[in-house]
Order: sequence, then C-alpha cells, then structure tokens
Amino acid sequence: MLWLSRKTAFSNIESAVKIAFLLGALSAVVSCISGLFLSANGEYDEATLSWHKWMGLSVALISSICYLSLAHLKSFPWQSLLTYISGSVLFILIFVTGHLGGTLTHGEGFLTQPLETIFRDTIPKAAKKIIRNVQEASVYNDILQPMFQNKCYGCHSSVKQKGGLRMDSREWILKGGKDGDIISAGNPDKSEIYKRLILDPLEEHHMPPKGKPQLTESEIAIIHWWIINGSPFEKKVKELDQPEKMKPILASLQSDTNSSKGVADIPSQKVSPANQTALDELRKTGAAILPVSEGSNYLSANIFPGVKEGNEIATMLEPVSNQLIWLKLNGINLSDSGMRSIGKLTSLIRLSLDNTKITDKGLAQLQGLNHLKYLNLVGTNTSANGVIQLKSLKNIQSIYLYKTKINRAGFEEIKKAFPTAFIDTGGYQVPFLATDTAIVRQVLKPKTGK
Amino acid sequence: MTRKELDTQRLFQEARHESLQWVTRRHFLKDSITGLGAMALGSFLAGCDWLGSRQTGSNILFDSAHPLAPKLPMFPGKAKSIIYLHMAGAPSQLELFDYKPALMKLDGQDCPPSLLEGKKFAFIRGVPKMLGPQAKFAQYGESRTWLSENLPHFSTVVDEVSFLKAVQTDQFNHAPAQLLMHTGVARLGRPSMGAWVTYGLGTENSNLPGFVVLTSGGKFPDAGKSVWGSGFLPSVYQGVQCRSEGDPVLYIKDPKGMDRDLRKASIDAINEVNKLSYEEFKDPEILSRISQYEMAFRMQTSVPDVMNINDEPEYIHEMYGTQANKACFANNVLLARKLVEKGVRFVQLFDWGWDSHGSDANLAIDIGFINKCRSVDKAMTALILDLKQRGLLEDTLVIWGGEFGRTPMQENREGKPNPFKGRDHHTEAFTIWMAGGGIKKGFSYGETDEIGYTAISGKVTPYDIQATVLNQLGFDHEKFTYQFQGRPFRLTDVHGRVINEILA
Repeated sequence: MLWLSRKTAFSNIESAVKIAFLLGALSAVVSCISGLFLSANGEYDEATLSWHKWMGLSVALISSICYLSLAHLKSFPWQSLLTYISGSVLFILIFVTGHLGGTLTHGEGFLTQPLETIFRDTIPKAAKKIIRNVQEASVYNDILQPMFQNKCYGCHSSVKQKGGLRMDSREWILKGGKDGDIISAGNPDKSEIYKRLILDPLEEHHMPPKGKPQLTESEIAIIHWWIINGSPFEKKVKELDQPEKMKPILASLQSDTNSSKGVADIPSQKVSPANQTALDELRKTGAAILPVSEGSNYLSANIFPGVKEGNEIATMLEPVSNQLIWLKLNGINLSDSGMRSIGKLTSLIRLSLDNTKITDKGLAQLQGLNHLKYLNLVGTNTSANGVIQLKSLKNIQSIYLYKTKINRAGFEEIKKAFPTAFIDTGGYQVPFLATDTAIVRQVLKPKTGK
Repeated sequence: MTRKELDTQRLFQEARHESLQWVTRRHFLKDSITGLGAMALGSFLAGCDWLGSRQTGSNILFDSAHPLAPKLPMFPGKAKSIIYLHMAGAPSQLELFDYKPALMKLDGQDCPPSLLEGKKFAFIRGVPKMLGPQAKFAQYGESRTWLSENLPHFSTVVDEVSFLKAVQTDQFNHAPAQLLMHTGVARLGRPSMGAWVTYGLGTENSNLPGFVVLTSGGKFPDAGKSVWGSGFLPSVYQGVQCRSEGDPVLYIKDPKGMDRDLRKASIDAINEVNKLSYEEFKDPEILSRISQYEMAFRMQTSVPDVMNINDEPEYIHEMYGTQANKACFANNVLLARKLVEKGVRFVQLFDWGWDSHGSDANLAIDIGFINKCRSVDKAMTALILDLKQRGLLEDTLVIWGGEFGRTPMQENREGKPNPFKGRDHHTEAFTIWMAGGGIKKGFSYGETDEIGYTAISGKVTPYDIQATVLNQLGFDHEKFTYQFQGRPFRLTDVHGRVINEILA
C-alpha cells in the first residue's frame, strides 16, 4: 500500500496507509501482551516459543517505528528510506512469527502434514491388530493402546501435550494431566478421561475435540468397562469380569482373517497384468471376467452358459492362470475333459462347479489347487471318495455338496478328511406347520357393559 | 411521462448502445481475466488425481455404449449380490425381535408425559395407553436370540443372522421413510440403492437386467416406483419391475403375427436409424438406447426362462411355501434366489401390508399382523437355507426390514382408542436383520430401553445400512459418487458409517 500510494493513480489511499500502520502496531502490542500470558501455562514447545516471543516483540517494535516514521517524521531527511526498510523487515518478521505461532498451536509441521496426507492418502495410524481370540487378548496392549494411538496421540503424546497430558505409555497415563489424574480405578464416573468422552460433543471440554475423529460407542463402552475393572494394564480380557452387555462388543473385536473387515481375502503379493488378448477372447464368449477390484491384477470370472462349450472356455482360461482367483462356472457344459484345464488354474481361491457334468475323475485334477478355500460342487455327479482325493488342499474352508451322490457315511468321512473346513451337504427342510396356512380371524366378542 | 422525459430516456438508451458498440471481445476477455483464469484452474485441478484414488468429480463409470457392462469395485467386496426384503408399512419390532417384558407390566396404563413431550406421531394424539407385547417370546439357537412365536420357522436360522436392534430414522410417514431407506433422501429425485449398485458394478449376465424389483401384498410401496428409480443416474440403472404372475415382464411376448426374425429385423432397422442420428447429434443417450433395444431382444428369450419358477422341483416349492399362479411373497423369494443364481446383482422385494395401526382387523397386531408373519416366515427361512446349501450365502447379502418401527403405545387415532390393538409409526427404534455376504452369524447389535421406546446403544441409521451394503460390495460410500448439478453426489450424502460391528 505504501508503495502504491506513491503512484499517482493511487495517491488517495495514502491516508489509509497511516491508519493501517497505526492499527497494525497497536494490535501487535496487544497480541504480545496476551501471548506472554498464554505462554505462562507452559503447554508449548520451549524453543519455538522463545523464538515466537522475541520475534513477536520485534514486530511490535518495528511496526511502531514504521508508524512513527510515517506520521511524525515528515521533516526527517531519511524518512522515506527508513519507512521502506522498516516496512520490509516488518513484512518478513510477520511472516516468520505467524508461522511459528501456527506451529505452536497446531504442532510441528502443520503445513506439510496435510500435504503428506494428500500424497500418501494415509494418516499415521496404528496398524490394525488381528485379534483371533479376544479372550486371550491383552486389554491394554491389544485393545486400548491402538485405540489411543488412533484417536488421542495427535494431542497427547511426544508430539504435543495438550493439557499437560501424554497417553503414549502406561506411566504417562497414570501421571495424568495438569488437572491431576485422568483415571480413578474402578470408578469411571470419577475418571476425567471417561467424563470427557461422554460429555455433550458441543461442550468445550468434550474429548476428542469437535472436528477430530470421535470414539465410537463401543470404544467408550470398552474404556468404561476397563476402568470399572480397575484399569489394569497387564491383564487379559478373560481375567476381567464381563457383563452381558460387553460380550457382543468384545466379540466384535475378534476377526478371523488378515484382511480388514468387509474385504474379501485376496493374495497379498502383486501379480503382473493378465494377457489382454486372452481376456478379450474370453469376453467375446459373454464371460464376465474382470479384476477383483481397482488397482488389482487378480481376476474374477463368472461364466454363463452361452455360445461356447464349457470345456473350450476352460482351455481359454489357462493363459490367465496366474491372475484368476475366483471362478464361477455354474450350469455350464463342462465335463471331466475340461477339468484338466481347470486343474492348471493354480491361483484359484474360490471355485464354483455347481450343476456341471463333472465326476470324481475330473475332481482328481484339482489336487494342485493349493490356495483353494471355497469349492462348490452342488448338483454334480461326485462322490465322497472323489472329494476325499482333495484332502491335501489344506486351505479349504468350505465345501458345498448339496445334490451330489454323497450319503450320510460319506459326509462323515469327508468331515474327517477336512477337519477344519465347513462341509455342507444341504437338503435342508422347512417343515410344514399347521399355522403356515391357518388364518387368524377376528373373534367377535359379545358386547359387554353399557 | 412527459415528452421531454421520454426524449431523455431515448437519448440515454442510444448513448448506452453507442458505448456498447465500442466494447470489443478484447475488453470482455480483459475484464474477465481473473474469473476465466480461476475457472480454468479449477478444471485443471479437478483433472488431477489428488487423492490417488477414483476420480470423484467425473462420471467415469458411465460408458454410454455399454452402460451395463460389468465393472470392478473399489476393493474386493465379500458380497456379489443383494436380496433386499422390504416389509412395506413397517412391521412391529415389539412383536417380532425386540423382547420387552417390562412393557407388559405397563400394558393398559397411560403413557407417561415424558415420552410424549416434544414428540410428533403420525396418528397418536393426546395421551395414549401403553400396549404390552402381543406375542410370546423365547430364546433360540446357540446365540440365544430372543424371537417371538410369530416366526416359528425363522427361529431355526437365527444363528445365521445379525440383528440390528437399534435402527433409527427421522421420517414417520411411509413414503418419505421408504425413500430415505432406499435412496438416502426423504424426498423424490435420488437414485435408489439398487440403481447405484448397478451403476457401479453393471450386470454380470448380459442377458438379464442387473436390478430386478418384485412386489407382493396387493399394493405398491407408498413411495411408488421412485424407491427403485434411477434419480439423476442414467435411466438404464433403474430397477426392472418383474411379475411373478402372467408374463414376467409386460409385453415380453411378441404380438400375434410377429415372429422372432421379423422382431429382430425391426429392432435392427430401428437401431440403424438410431445410429444415423447418433452420427448426426453425438448424443450418448442414443447409444444407451441402442444397447437397451438389443438387451430387450435378448431378454425376450432369457427372461421367461429364468423368471419361471415352475421348473423348480416340488420339494423346493414346498420348502418356500409357494402358491401356484399367484403373485405372493413366497413365489417372489424363490424367484429372487433363482435370479441371484443367474448373476443378477440386486433383487429388491416389497411386500405390502405391515402397517398395523389397529384401525381394522387386517391391521390389528393380534390378527392381520400374525397372518402377515405367517405369509413370510417360511419363505424367508427357506431363502437363507436354500442359499446356504447352494454355497451362495457366502456372497449374497440378505436384508430384511421395514422403513420404521412401531410405538410401544397403542394407537389412539384422533384421541380415541382404535377398534383393534395396533401401534403407530415410530422413528426412534426398530429392528432390521442381515445375513450372508460377509455379515456375522448369530449376532445382535444395538439395544433399546426397557420398553423399546428408543435406541440407547448401537444406534444405526438408514445411511449406515446403505454404507454397509456398499462396503460389502466393495465400495467406499464416501468416494462412490456421481457428478450432477455441479457437485458429486453420494448415496449416503454427508452421512453414514459402515457398521463394522456386524461384519465377520
């Protein structure tokens, strides 16, 4: 503005420049005073704070010089030079002091962190712990610590200690914050940590603060349960008293798979893209063959009865054997001769052969499918012996055998061969009940009373 | 206005026109340089892939030449298909799933004012009486799930199911509540869940539609066909309504005197004309139309085959309790299983008649409601078992529920007790169950207070259910968008949380 006011076109803002400098100088002084009071509670990083303090004071000083030189030193020979120099210094100072102030309130690297998140698409979070058996899990290490890391460490750890509190170890948690202990063992309603979690989210003291990721109801329930049980750091879940209400919440922490919840198992190692010509040929037959998801080269195929013979399609699948993990061939015209090709698809995890013409002879071809977890043989001409041929497949989790030649005894043998798998021979019935077709009608009551 | 004033006005006008003559394109560009620059910058930035994931601002999933081609999800989902059984009218959770013995003790007493203050009900006026549970309950299965005697068959499969016992909505009238449940907004104009899914994943079986709707109970749901509409999505994604009586799709048979070859020839001719107009106007909707004609032609042969439940063996018919040549829930459920088996992505069933107000015998909680339960119990149980034995339950997600719940109070329309026992519409708590498709077995999430009036923990909204459905199919509901009217739209708008607690 100062520079602009020298240009004739903008000479009319000259008087505004003075006022701007005056206001700037006054507010710099006021912020210095309030800053000094705020720094007294010692929540901030010492080194940054002292820089911020001294630079803030300089801003106040130099902006005052600027104003004085502009307004009252009209006759002074170096007046215009002095104003320019102090103006430029002030510009740099405000820039740096402002940034330091930002660092104090928002934490180190507050400008670069969001950018990093944009480019990495992840915020540093606790790696998801797989709890296979929740009863054996350590309450603090396996359940609470990851929860704290994800939702509390942002302000209460080595990076920042808002309210003087750190939560990144047992000792720090027990030490509490500047207002004292945060946990009163056995008494959640007197524990600061729990009280603040259940405060109305609009209240100032509610934790985590508005706009930050909140704890879920189950997470709060877990903290409540932990405190009621005396907030132990070393105990396992099974050693704590578990009221009926906690059971489903605890059970929901358990997970059987490495994959995160709601995501299907796919191999973790990368694979090269499938041969495009082979894919195009397959698609021409009407097969729905696609990557299992964006960014993955693994393939899922669903093949419908159509123009080509099933056996022919099976051969066409061979070139994509490294990528194909899910395959549905239900109802297509596939026989044992096509099974030789299916046996070469060694990456398969899920395979549906239901209502095809295959027999035990064809099944024998599948012995090399070591990754297989799901096998659907519903409506095929297979027998117990045929299925037992595959007992070397250790990863199998479920086999569906409805409408096959397998009888009760065969079923028992298969169960022995696959002790950990779920075997379903179907044939469920929903019995007829008299009430199914009976209709309830209005009973006309005799009128009573008046 | 005097003549002088008129002259002055004309003079001004002329001066203005004259001065405008001097404004050139250069002036315009110079004056609007910042604005145009900002617009250009905006489009550059939108073109960049900031988050390294799906480009949210663009409708990249819509390929007008092949609108229904199969597409891949964002991540590998556990479910491949959805069967949504909607009990239109809203069944009473208090006579089915939410066992409240404490409510029995209050039966017939006046409703305490604390439950009425500041609340709005569809029909309850003044002070209604409390109404105890009108069914006996017992615990079933290894999960010891409480269930009422109204669902004797379903009690055998509770160990396959996850119950959401604390669903809440904010709409207490049928049409808006149904719209909210299926389209994410209580007003008209948004795409339904099935339309979103079809837009995102296409259809695997190119001879069948990706999204099929079946209705029973004698009436359409109150919100009409909008609950399976495509909203602002291209119209090819709307639900295809099929019938389980007569022709599965209206006008699917060729008329008399029209043979298959003639039909083919006429569709080819129409498409030829359409291709010419596409070359002239380049409107992508014309390509959509061409592919729709082709699909309709294929459906004429494939649909009657799939839609026909008569070729199912007798014991399957008995299992579902179907009724020959009738449009009923059991027939629709069996058809739904067949469709999923053939690769249909989303099958939406509506069964009308659950609005148990107690205003007549059919809507009485102890008469008509029991009959409704009997008409669905066998079929829904059979569906779970049949999907399971065919190995389809692992990747088929079944959802059962209404659009809201029912009050623990007896309805008193216009302040007078209704002639029969009934309950009013209730938004604060109801139950929905899900099974298969990567959902926990024999699990229950959420809790209501001791009279079942309001949810107290594990609250779930329609948005959460939608987010969970999308998640099971492999979509992040926060990133799955469609650009419309200048902003990306989501099924869950700005709400929704995946109900991780019920995921296996």
